[in-house]
Amino acid sequence: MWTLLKIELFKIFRRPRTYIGFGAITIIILIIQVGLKFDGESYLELMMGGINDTFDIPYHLILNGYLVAFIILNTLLIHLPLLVALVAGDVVAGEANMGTLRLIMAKPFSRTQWMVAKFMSSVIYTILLLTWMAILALLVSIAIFGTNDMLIARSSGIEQLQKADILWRYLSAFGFAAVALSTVAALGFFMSVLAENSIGPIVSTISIVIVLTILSEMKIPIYDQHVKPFLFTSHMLAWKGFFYSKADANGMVIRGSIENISSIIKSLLILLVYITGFVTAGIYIFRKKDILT
Amino acid sequence: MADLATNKKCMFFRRMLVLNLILFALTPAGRAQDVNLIVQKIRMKLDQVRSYEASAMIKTNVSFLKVPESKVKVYFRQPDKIRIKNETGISLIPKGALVISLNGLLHGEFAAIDAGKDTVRGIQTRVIKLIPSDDKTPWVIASIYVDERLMLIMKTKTTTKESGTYEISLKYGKYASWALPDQIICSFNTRDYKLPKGITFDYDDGTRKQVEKTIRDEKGTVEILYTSYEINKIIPDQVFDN
Amino acid sequence: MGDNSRFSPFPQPYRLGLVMIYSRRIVSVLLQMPSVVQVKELSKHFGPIRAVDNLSFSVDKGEIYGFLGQNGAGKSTTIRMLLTLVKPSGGQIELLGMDLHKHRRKILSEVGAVIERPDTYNYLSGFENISLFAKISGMRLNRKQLMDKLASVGLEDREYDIVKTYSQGMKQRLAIAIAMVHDPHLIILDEPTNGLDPQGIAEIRKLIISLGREQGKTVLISSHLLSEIELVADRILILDKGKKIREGHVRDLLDPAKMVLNLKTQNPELTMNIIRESHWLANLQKQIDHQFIFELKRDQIPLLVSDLVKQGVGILEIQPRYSLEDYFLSLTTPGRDVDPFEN
Repeated sequence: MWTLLKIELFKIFRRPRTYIGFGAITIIILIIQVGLKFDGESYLELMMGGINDTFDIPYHLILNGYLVAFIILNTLLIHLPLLVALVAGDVVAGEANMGTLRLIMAKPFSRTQWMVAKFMSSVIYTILLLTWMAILALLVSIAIFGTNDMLIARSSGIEQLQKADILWRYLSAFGFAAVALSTVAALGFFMSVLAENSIGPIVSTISIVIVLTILSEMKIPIYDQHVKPFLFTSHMLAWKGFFYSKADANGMVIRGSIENISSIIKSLLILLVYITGFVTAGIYIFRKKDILT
Repeated sequence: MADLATNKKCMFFRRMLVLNLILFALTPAGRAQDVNLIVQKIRMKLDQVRSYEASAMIKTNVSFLKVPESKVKVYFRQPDKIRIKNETGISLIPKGALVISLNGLLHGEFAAIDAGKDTVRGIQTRVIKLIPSDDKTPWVIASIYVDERLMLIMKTKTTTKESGTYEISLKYGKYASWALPDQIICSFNTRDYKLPKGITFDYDDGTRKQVEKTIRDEKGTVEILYTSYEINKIIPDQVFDN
Repeated sequence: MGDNSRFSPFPQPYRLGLVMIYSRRIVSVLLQMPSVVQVKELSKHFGPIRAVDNLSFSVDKGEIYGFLGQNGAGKSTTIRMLLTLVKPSGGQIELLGMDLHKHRRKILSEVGAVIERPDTYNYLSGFENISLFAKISGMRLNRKQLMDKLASVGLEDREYDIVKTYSQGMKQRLAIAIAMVHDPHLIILDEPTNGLDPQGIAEIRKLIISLGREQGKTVLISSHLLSEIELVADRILILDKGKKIREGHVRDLLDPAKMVLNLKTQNPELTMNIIRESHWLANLQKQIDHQFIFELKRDQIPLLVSDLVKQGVGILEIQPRYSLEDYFLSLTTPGRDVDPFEN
C-alpha cells in the first residue's frame, strides 16, 4: 500500500495542474495581505458594524496577524474546495481518460488497494495545500502584521480572544479544516469513479459544493430545519467554532474555552461519516465496474 | 433711656442682618455661591494630583461584546490629559468616557447650578448641574453628585455632543484623600449592532439564537478597578500621543 | 527466468515480495504443466449484447497464440477478462495452472500486457514510466537495468523525453517494454504493431518470435491483421461475434483452406470454353483478359492445371493469392459464397 501511495503522490505532483492550487492560494493570500496592509482600517470599520460610534476602536492594534489570518481563512472558504476538486476529481477518471487505468488494474494489487491509495493521495495533497495556506495565512501575516488580541465579528456581536489564547485554536481549526476538505476530496473521488473523463467529476464536485453552500447559508426556515443539518457543507464551517469562546455570567470571555465543543464534535463526526460513505461507495462501485477504457 | 433705645436698635439690626443672611443663603444667588464654593473645593482637591499612572482592570459588560477582562494602565496629567493603554492586548473603551473625566469636567468654564439633593448608594449627595460656557466643550450638560462631607464626587451624568450620555459611578478607598477612586463604573446606552452582510458566514451550531438582535436603548457598562496609583509621577508626552 | 532481482521494494509490502517469491516457486512447478492459459465456456454480456459467447480455448507453454477477428469480434473483451479488467458473465479462466479468480495476485505478477492503445503517462518521461511500472510490478531495478529495458526496444536516446513527444511507434515500443519489465511468463499483446512503420513491425515480429521460441515465454497476440498473425503464431483462434469460429495450427488452417488462384493463359477463349463445359465453372470467380481467378482448395490446383493443359491450354502464370486472408474474411464476413469450414 505504501508503494502505491508513493506512486500516486509521484503522479499527482508531477502534473503541472497540481501546482495551480498552490499558486492560486499564494496569489489570493498576498492580494489580501497587501490590501489590508494599505487599507485595513476601512475593512475593520465595516467589520465593527457601528460599534465604532460607541467605542474607541484601536484599529492599528486590531489589525494584527491573527485577524488577517482569520479573514484569509474566511475568504478561502469557497476557493479551497475547488482546488481540492481539481485533483480529487482526476484521480480515477483522469487515468481512465489517459488509458492508464487498464494498465495499473492489470497489476497484482487489488482494486481496493488502488482506490484507497488514490483517495489517500488526494487527502495528502489536500493537507499539503492546507499547510501551505496555513503558512502563508498565519505565519506570513504574523510576520507582516505582528500579533495581538483577536476580535472576531459574528452576527451576534464582537468577540475578543487574548493573544495567548489563539494559536491552539488555529491549530485545531486547521485540523478540522483538513477533515472538511477531505470530505470534498472524498466527493471528488466518488465522482471520479463514475466517470471516464476528469472534467465531469471536477465540475460536478464544484457544483455540488457551491449549491450546497448556498443552501446552507440561505435563511429559509424549511431548509434550516429539514435540509441544512444534513448537508456536509453546513458542517464544514465548524472550524470557526474553535474561535467562539464561552462567556461567564457577566459576559466576560472565559480563556481557553470553546462555546459549543459538542457541536464541533458532532460536525466532525458527520463529516467523517460522509467521507466514509463516499469512499466506501466509490470503492464498491469500482470493484464491480468493467474497465473498458 | 437713650442707652436702652440704642441697645434695642442694635438688637434689631443684628436680627435683621441674621435674617437677611439666612434669606440670602436661601435665595438662588446664595445657593449659587454655595455650589461654586463646593466645586471650587473639589477642584482644589483634584488639583493635588498633577499626574498619575494607575494600574487597573477593565471589565466590559455589553450584550454584543464578549471580551475578556484586561489589565490596563491609566495615565493622567493636568489639566485634562488622560489615556488608557493595554500594554499586552486590546481594550475597547467607551468613546467620550475619557473626555468626561472629572478633571475634564471641572477645568473648563461653566455655570454651576444647584439641583437639589439625591442619594447615591445610601449616601446623601448634593446634585450640581454644570453648563459649559464654551461652545467647543465636547459635552452639553453634566450633573455631579457630591458627598459634601468628604468633598468627593460620587456620580456624574454627562451628555456629550457626539457619543450620547454617560453615567459614571465612583467608589473610593485608600486614595480618597487624593480624590482618586478605586472603582469607576461607566454606564451608557448602546447603539444598534448589526454585522454587515457579506463579511462572513457564521458557523451555525444549531442553538437557537437571535442572530440579528437589534440592541436599542440597552445599557452597557465598563468597569475600571484601580489596583494602584503612582501619584504625581512624571508622565512623558508620547504617552498621550495618538 | 532472468537475472532481475525480484523482491518487495518497501517494508510494508514484504508480503507482496513473499508472494512474488512464493509465486515464482509455484509457477515454476506449474509451468511444467502444458497449459498456461485454459479458458472454458467464457461469456460476457453487456446487456443484450453477447460480446463473448461460450468461448473455450487453451494456450500451451512457450506457444505463440494468435487471436484473430475483426473489430468487435470479442478479442479485446476476452483479453480484458484474462486480465481481470472485465468480469465474465460465465465460464472459467485458469492462467498458469491457477484459477484466476482465486489467485489473481500471484497470476498477474507473472503476466505482462499491452492492451489496445499503447497508453502510458504522457506527462512523464519514458524512463519515469518504466521505472513506475517496474515498482508497481514489484521489481527493484537500478537505473542501468531500466535503461537496458528501454534500449531493448530502441528507446535509449529518448528515455528522458516526455512521452507526449513520442511518435506512435515509440509509444508502442515503450508499452511493450513496460509489459516486459518484470520478465513475465505470459505476455498478452493486443494489436502490438498498430501505428508502426514496416521496420517497426518487423522488429516487433522478431521480438515476439524471440520471446516465444528462444525465451520460452508464452505469448498471446491479438490482431485484425492476418499477415502479422500468420507470420508469428503457432496456433490461431478465429473469433467472430464473440464466438469461436476456428482454432488450430496455422499450417492446418492453410491446408484445408480454400485458395484464390490467379491463372494466366495464352488462349483465353479456349480456356473459357473448357471451363464452361466443366465443373470448374463453379470455382471461377472472375475473368479479365488472359487472367482467370479461381477459388478452390489447394489440392484441386494440380487437377485444374492438368485438365486445361490436356485440352491444349497454354499456362503462362499460376499465382495463388493470400488464401488465409480470404479464408478469414469468408468466415467472418456474412454473405460470401464460400461456406465456412466445420471444425
